[in-house]
Amino acid sequence: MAGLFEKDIRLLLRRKQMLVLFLALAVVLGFTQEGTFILGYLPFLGMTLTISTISYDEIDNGYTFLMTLPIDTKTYVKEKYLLCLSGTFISWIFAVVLYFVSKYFRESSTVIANEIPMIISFLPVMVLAMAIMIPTQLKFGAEKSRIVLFIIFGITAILSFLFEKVIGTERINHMLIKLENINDAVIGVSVVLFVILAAAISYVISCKVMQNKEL
Amino acid sequence: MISLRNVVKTYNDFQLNISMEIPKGRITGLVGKNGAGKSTTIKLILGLVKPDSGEARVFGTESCKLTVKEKEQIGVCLAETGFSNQLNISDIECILAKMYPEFEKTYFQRKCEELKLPKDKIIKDFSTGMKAKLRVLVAMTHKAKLLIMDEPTAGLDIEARNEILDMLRNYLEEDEERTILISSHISSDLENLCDDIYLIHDGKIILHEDTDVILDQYGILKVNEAQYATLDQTYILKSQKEHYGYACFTNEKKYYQEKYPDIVIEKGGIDELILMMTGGYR
Repeated sequence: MAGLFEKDIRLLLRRKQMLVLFLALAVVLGFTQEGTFILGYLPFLGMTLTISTISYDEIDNGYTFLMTLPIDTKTYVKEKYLLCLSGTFISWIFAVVLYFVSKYFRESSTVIANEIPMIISFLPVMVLAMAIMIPTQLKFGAEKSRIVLFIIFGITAILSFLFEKVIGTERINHMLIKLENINDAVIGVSVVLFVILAAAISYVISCKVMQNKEL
Repeated sequence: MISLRNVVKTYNDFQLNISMEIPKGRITGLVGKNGAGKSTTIKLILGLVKPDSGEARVFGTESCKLTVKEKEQIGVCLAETGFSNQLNISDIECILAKMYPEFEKTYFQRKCEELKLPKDKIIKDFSTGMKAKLRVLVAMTHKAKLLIMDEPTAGLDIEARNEILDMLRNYLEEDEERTILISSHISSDLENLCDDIYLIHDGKIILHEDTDVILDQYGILKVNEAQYATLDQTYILKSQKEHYGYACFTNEKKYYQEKYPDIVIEKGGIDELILMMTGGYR
């Protein structure tokens, strides 16, 4: 797996100029945009960049060659998830630092502890996005996966809209109030378990996709 | 070392159905026209595609279940695929060092210099020949016991081809147990390198013979209509109508030289073997 990490990190560093541009943009956005935009933007960028290494593997029948190296499909998939998680986490840390620095300059006094739950809540959202994006990209490739993701997120939006219409705003608000009454620790543990379960299912699907790929 | 037993792989309009045995210490050539099934055979051996039926084994292990340790013993050069075009030689050197415990860094660097492969240029900017040389080099730098090479000399000029062939010969000399399976369209490469040849056509092995035997005993008899009518057909493998009469491919050249001293008999090389056995001789 060390060889795969080496390959992917070197591929990412080949796009140094783009990385610098994205980081510069992040700093500008961090200081100019109010609110938590940067906390979502930067980790999502880190995630998509690391997932883009799959596209490099795909070009010119690259998978065929990669699978002749001393790795198996499971190791390949595992490396992609670890790379993606690391990329997302590192960019999240950077985003958090930017968020607090910009907030400090803007408001001069900030109670960090009050913001922690909101800041951490971005991580499970990113992991869920990763759990959808990696198997999709492995199955459909870089080009088709964009359409598939568009369809998936479109369907999710439509279902949410329909859910709101069927259930009604009042009932949803009522449910949210009930949720607020639940102990924070219970919600936290439930979210963590849900995310772990989603990531595990995603990993199993990705392994199956790679095992069934005819190279 | 490699064993394919009644391996069947079916695609929409193509079926591969072959058996092969490659013992260790041999250089075996796989020849055939485009689309004959050479690359599919190699993919089956490497476990990249699963057979519909039959058994493909390498080192005694089913190809699809090769372990990481076993894969470390295999060096692979595939036509038109390799490391990402965005990487350079320095990147590849670091990746190989992490991939293979037996990676020979000094040998890799020395060969890159000898083959004039620039260290800091990305592969995308390499010439076709440079890419081919790099693919072969990547396969040979971790003391693999088995080399599997699909068209390794394609796109190379004669000088570069000889360099590659010399590298392969030296590679075998270092360890007698090393084995090479090589597919190529360039018959002279195979004639000078391989111990035996498998000829594949329409997904089937139609001939397996030692290279020396092909070069010594195979030949093409060029006969007119009258000579053809009286010709002993015992050792004629294939005949083809020509403007002068018939071209007859035999695996007993000497028999016909002695029995029919008036008949024109040409040397039967691998090119002739492919063309006669697959019906394209002119």
